[in-house]
Amino acid sequence: MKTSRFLTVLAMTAAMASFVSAQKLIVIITPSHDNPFFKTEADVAKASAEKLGYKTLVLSHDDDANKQDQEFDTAIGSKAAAIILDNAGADATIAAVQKAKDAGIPSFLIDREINKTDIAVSQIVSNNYQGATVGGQEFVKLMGEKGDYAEITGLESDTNAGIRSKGFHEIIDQYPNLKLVAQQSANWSQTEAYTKTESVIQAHPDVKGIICGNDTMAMGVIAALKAAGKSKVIVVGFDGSNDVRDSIIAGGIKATVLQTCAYNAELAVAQADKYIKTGSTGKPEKQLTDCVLINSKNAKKLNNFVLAK
Amino acid sequence: MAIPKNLRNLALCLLAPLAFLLLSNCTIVKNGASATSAAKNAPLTSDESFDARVYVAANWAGKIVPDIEGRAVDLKEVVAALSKNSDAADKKYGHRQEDAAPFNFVVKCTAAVKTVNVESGAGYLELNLPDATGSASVRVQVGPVFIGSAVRDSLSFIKFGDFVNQIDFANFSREINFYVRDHVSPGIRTSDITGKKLSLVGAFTEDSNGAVVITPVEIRLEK
Repeated sequence: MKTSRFLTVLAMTAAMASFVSAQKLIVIITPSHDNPFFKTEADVAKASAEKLGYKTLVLSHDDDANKQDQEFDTAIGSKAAAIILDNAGADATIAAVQKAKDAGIPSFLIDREINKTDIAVSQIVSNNYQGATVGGQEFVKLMGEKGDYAEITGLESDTNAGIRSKGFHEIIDQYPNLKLVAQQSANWSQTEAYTKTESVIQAHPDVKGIICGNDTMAMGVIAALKAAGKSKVIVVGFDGSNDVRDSIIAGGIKATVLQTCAYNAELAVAQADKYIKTGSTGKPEKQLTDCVLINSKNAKKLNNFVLAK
Repeated sequence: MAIPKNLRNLALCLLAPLAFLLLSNCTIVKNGASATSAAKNAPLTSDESFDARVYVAANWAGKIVPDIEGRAVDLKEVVAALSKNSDAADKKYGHRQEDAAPFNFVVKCTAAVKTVNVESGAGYLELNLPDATGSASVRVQVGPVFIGSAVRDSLSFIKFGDFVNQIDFANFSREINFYVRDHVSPGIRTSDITGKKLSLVGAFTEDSNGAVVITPVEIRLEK
């Protein structure tokens, strides 16, 4: 008797829970999870949303604005309560976010920003430019303010590839004795970075440092340098992945710049939740989160894009 | 004292026409898009018309420096408060826009120069502040490379949302630093002033290691 009443209560609770969650869906759209940065961002958003009682749908647009547009249609069709988005283009995304807004679905952007305000509810932007100047400063210091260096840049169509390169150069170009001997795109890819580095060191055997637009490429660069027996070349990355952390601890890559993607994802979900419940986040739309330098001094405190205090 | 002020006046004369141009530009943008609140939210920028260099030069003496100077607190007071209880000091003296960002402080002081370090591109002076209770060294950036965005992030009249994107926002800080390099610090950077007394107004960003690195907006040697 007692047991059956307990079971009834349990069944009712479960039914209520599924009823509530069926009504509230948060759709999470990011670039490809091949890059641990985006995987972490999506995982944290999903976990945060589920902890707050939401159902989630996690999608990847693979940096294809058309695919992203279809995923917005899916979100609208599923009557999502909110969309958490790391977008596929500062201009190309405007129409999709507007479409969601017109359908009554608020968007909360993380990491990358779009070139329009008042259509997303929040834009929690990772300050890539500031991060790149921080990485640039560390690179300059490691280089002793002089010598030949190369730069491996990211996917040209991704705004952050250009922003990071600009940020690096804002600092580095102020030092007249630092000379850029090669600048090549490896499209965020580790294998491409490996082959590009092979050709860079063949053409410029005296290159003293290589600065990279992200950590995935930095891993390719350091592997190529190691294979060529050039372990003294200074490598600096960007993102703060666990792979690069381990390389820094082992004395390989010298530094990277942490983007607080886990924090940003959690913050976006919290703001979405508040907005769903109260109609306001209590925050300005555009919010900027700074990046943090990671080197041998603090690498041990880094795990899954979170730097322990 | 005389040199920076003269330079400032000269800059003003040269830039007054530019300022007028910029102002008229702003008006056009505002009128053109006054129906949308986006325009109201972005008074400093529009896709084509925002030129950070022109804006900084046109607003340096009239807006940027007074904003910093008007709120500047004695450096010794801030350093002492920070070393005693940084949370309380942040609350009392700090300025920041974002919840996770470090705090910025606007300060003024008169102190002797302990050392001049200009071998690095990011040159700095070290100040002698014997009665500051904090043990941290106090540095003043003299360039030619200026690190960070303490001046921008201390201003009370701008926020990130005023700019179209992080590039415009970053350009604004870069041009502030370039302006300091070209108009505030040159006379200081090129002379041996160890042991001399100087007065300055500037800003610094809180550092987790306790370092105080000030970007000056005004600096002059005392007789």
